[in-house]
Amino acid sequence: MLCIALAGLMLAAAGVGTVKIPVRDVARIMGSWLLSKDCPEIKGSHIFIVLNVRLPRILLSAIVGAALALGGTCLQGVFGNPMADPYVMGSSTGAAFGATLGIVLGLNQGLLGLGTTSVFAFCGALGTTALVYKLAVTGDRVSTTSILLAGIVVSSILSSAISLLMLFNHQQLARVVTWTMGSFNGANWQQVWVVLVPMVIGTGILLSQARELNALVMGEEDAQSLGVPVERVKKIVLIAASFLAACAVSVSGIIGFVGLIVPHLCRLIFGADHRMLLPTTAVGGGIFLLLCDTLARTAIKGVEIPVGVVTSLFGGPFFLYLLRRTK
Amino acid sequence: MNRKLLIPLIMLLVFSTVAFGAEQLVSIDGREYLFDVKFIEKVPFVNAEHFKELGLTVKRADEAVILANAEVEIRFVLESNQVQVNDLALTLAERAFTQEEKTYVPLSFVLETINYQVSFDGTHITALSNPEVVYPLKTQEGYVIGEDVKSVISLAPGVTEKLFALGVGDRIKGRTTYCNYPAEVGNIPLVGTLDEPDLELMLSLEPDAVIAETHFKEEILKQLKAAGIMTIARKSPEDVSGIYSYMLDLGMLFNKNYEARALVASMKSKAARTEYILQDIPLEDRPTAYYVVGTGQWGEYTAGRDTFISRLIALAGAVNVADDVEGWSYSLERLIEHDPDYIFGNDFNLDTMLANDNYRVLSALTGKNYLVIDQDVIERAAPRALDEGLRVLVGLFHPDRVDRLGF
Repeated sequence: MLCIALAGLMLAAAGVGTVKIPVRDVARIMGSWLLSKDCPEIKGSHIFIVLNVRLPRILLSAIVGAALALGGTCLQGVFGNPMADPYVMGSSTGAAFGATLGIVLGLNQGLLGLGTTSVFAFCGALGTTALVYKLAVTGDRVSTTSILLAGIVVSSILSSAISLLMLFNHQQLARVVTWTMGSFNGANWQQVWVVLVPMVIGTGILLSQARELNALVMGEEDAQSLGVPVERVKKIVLIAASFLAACAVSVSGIIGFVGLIVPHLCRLIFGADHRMLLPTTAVGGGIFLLLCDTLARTAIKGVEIPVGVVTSLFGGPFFLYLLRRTK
Repeated sequence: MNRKLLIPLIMLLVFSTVAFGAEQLVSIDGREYLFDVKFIEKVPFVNAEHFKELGLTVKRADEAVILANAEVEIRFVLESNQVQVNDLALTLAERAFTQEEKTYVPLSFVLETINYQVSFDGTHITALSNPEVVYPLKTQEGYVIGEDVKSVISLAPGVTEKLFALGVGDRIKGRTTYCNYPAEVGNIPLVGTLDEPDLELMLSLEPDAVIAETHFKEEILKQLKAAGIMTIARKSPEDVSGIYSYMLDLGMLFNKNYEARALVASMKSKAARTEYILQDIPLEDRPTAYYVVGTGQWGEYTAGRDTFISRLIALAGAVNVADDVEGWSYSLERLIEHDPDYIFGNDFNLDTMLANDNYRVLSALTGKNYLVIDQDVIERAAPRALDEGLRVLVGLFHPDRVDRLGF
């Protein structure tokens, strides 16, 4: 049912934008595209706008939203901490550091059609999570407390490093800040294809751990005694969730609150059984971010509100409301 | 010597110097011409009639002299520094004038406008014609321009200024929120900010080209390219000659080649005039200066030696104390140690400095040798920097000489 909502929202989002394109034309453009036909009677620029500007952006925001929400839910399950979000292992600061480095170096080293900044951000995010993991692991076990602490420490070190970089590259400050605020402006099909496969794989892995997560929520010792291979599950979930987060930030910048709010929202509505919860948060995350991004680009004509700002504006008050309700 | 022969001999000598002194050997494309040239403060003015030998028609109207060929009309307003090239109104540092029924116009300006490269080695003026600009032409990005670019979106305030300076402001279909000069931009619709322009809006305007400078979002430019729009991203000029080549490039894109060359020649004349009136001041006697890009608790930021602003300061006859660094970062301690004679910047920065105890020791501030300027004039490497900015700076550093600028 949620999937239908998502699909419906996608189609609706394709119809709105700065340029007024009548819904009928939008439908015709999409229909012709699916059937690989041409529509000569519609303006070329309108066709380009719907198929190459709006559609990839809609798909990308939905995919990223799903990844972030799913990652958030799983990490909340593993850490047993309702405040966990997909960036808790340092992916956000790592990505920001990577992106800053990329912007400051001014290289043109793209990969697979993604720009320098995206590639550097991805490496930064993955590198940081790997570092945090390494710091926290002892022998065969990894303590969730250690991970959280290591994540905080590494994040603050990287934050300082970013400030240092900005000191010597004052002129790039605005660009770095804009990137950190998160944006889907300029999304293209290449980005969609490049993140689709890794995201699908990561999502699949996480969905398969639903049962184990149900057990983990009860506590590690209890789960262990139920026969769940706790350490292995933790490893799988942490790696997959971090990978999803890294893919997400590399194409969109740092978008907060999605991975934090959507899991809670879905838990309220659908209950805490991960077998139901995981797929719903994925789709729910897609809907949420798609909605936010559509608002980000259409709320004020000609102005692009950073999507991270929209999610905070929605997520913040809502989170406070949740907090009060559970008190 | 026989007294009777002496006087006619002297008169002959005097006549010959007068006659030959006004005749100058000018070599144009290898061919030697003897032109009636007058040098006024090192600037050669030529009798306008000579241009008939180069294929131009020369006409006198009331207070103007008009030189023209099939493609360009150059109209000098006599006894003033105003000149009009086709539809573009320009100012020079020199004035066309009449003397003894003859009209004299600036030689370099006219030759450069009709596509010659002019050099003067002290005795000999040489002009070599540059290759003609032929359409269709290929830009350095690889685009082919059939006739010219008819509509453009400007993604930088510097670009907007340069386009208006060239006289193609009416072809701009969209601009950023930062594009605020000249006043005519009010009629041009906004397409967003430098970092996040509205892609859909730009596409719906269907421009021939989009021009961006230094700050832009890669993904947006990629999408514009994918939509088949000519996308040009240039670095902002880092020195004065950079502005010249930039304007010539724009001239080629918009088929305003004469206007571009004339604009560049007018800027060169102003730069040369400024150098001329300051030439007798040796380097060690020139005042020191500091431009404030940013100040206060976030650190000192100024224009280092590899910036356009530093070169503008040098042209205006001062020494930039920040030439000991490259880039934009500086330190308060260094600033205090240098203690520049003059400090200039925008009102916000100067207010910060004046209000803060840290800067009290700077003699430029206590001695009131500071100037609040419009940062856009100095920071955007556009013709306005030479048209207006130079005068403002020379007025600050050498107020006794600014009236001799002539523009």
